[in-house]
Amino acid sequence: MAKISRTKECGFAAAMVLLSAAFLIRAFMYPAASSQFPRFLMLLQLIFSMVLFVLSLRVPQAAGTGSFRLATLYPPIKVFVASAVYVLAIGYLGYFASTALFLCGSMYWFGKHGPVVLISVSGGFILTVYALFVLFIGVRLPEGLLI
Amino acid sequence: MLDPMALLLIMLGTIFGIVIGSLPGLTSTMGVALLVPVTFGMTPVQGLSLLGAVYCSSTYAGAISAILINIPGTPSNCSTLLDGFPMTKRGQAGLAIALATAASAIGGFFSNVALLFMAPPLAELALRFGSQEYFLLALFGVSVIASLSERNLLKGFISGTFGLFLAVVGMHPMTGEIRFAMGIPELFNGIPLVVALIGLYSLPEVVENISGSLKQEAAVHEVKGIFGRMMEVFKYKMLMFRATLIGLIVGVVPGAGSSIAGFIAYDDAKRNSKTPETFGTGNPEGLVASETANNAVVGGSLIPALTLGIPGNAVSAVMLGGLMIHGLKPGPGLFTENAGITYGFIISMFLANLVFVPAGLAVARYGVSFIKTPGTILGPLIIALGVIGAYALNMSLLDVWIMLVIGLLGYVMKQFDVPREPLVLGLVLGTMAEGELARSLALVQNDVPALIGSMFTRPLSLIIIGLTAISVFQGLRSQFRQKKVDA
Repeated sequence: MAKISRTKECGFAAAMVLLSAAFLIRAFMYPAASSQFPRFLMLLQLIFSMVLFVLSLRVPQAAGTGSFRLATLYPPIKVFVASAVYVLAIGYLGYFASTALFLCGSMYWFGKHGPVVLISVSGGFILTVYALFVLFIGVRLPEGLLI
Repeated sequence: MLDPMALLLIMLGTIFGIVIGSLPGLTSTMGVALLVPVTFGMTPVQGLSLLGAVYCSSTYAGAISAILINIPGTPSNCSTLLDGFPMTKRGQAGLAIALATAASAIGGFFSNVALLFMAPPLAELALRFGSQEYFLLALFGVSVIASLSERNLLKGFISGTFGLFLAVVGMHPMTGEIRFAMGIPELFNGIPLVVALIGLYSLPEVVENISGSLKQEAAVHEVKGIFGRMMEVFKYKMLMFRATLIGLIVGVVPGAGSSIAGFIAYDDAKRNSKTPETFGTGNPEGLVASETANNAVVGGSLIPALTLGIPGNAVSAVMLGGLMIHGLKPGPGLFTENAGITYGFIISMFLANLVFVPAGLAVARYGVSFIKTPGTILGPLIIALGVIGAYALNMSLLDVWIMLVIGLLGYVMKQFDVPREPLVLGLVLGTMAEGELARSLALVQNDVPALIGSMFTRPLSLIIIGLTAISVFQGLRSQFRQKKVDA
């Protein structure tokens, strides 16, 4: 397993300390009878996170994997932005239209594939989903302005 | 006992089950429930054979997507992907599916043997489980975290605690208070496990696909002769024996669930392995243990359902409904008054375990071709499959958003070397742990010392406490040994 840098480790631990503290405070806002378990869990997580933070300060800086490169963020940004736009579009355009657009758009964006690949893959996927989910299982897929 | 029509229905049910099980988001419960109305016009043996075949094959088929694309088809296969997908990345997808198929068939076969011959005593065991034992069972499950955390024990605990916390989002099991739901009605019943699993494992994998970091691992997947390679599973006889026992006992306990069985068997396999350090990197032992155990749950879960009328899990509850629709009354009398139908049903389960072997291997051939697709095509397809899977569960777009958010969480966890498996374990066990703790406390008027005292006076509780202590001790010992080796 690749070692991660001290800054990254400290950052993660600090974020977890803050998150645990926030959830712990929130847990105390509910009646005790309904929140004993989450209170206990968040207290435990807060302790673990604090220990991790202290330990991360002892990680030698040299253990880092190098400087941060912005380009490493492009793939996750592409994936999550494309997925979010797709889900948003389902509500407006309907499942089939948005899926066709998503598949064609993202395959082109991610890999610059030609029109034959884009149309055949997205067409095949949509037909399979229609046959299996709509005709066979009877799932009612979201409808929108289109289909 | 079985007519040709019943045999045909077993085959059709098996194919249907494989399709349902291998698609993320479509669960065994959904598959069986969909076919209950179809059985109205059939004889009881025919109808129950169809439902039994779907149950057996869908439990197995979740392993196919877990191995090939790192998304468990059903929650039962959460632990399968830990070593199944790394095998695929190494170019051993064919072998992984062959082993999973054989292990599933063996686990399922022996749990049916238990159903046939040992149902009454095992049903008695199920009745001995009270709230305290359930709570302790959940703690026992949590103790597996140490084993799943590789070299990051502290991060494993953080991940596990966060998973337990996510599982308590929604309504409190005793007071009905809504917690941490942010006013979103869809969260009142909690975060759906299947949706969380799809997000946690699919989206980070897509990012890897897109960024091309999996390119170097696109090895040749040998699928020729995988039928013969199934025999390699017999190298792990003792492992399968223990995993079958674990699956059977967990299955018999109502409400425990096959995903817990998979994790406990995985932990057991790792602790007894000569090469525990290779678990999580594609060790076939982990895959075999997990698949044997989750399929052994099938027969186990039907024991209390058939003999006591208490379903072992959601699928067996639906199966119970199917049984009653055909005029059969669950209880001890089922094995005497309706012996022909009951034994016919159990035999059909044996046959289903045989039929899914060739059917599953046939699917494997095409499945392996699917993963050879370039990442830039496979990635969008996995996202689209994840979206339909998350949506189909409750027909809610909000579930899809939850899937995306948990996917982002999974990606962040991967970036910070936080193991995701303890989080899944927490999600699986959290509801049970909180609910049973609340019930146990209510029974002793919230007197915590009294609750702890009573845990040490009940033999079954003591056994579970002992097992938990051993599991924690061994888990920590192996962690420290590993640290020494690393140093």
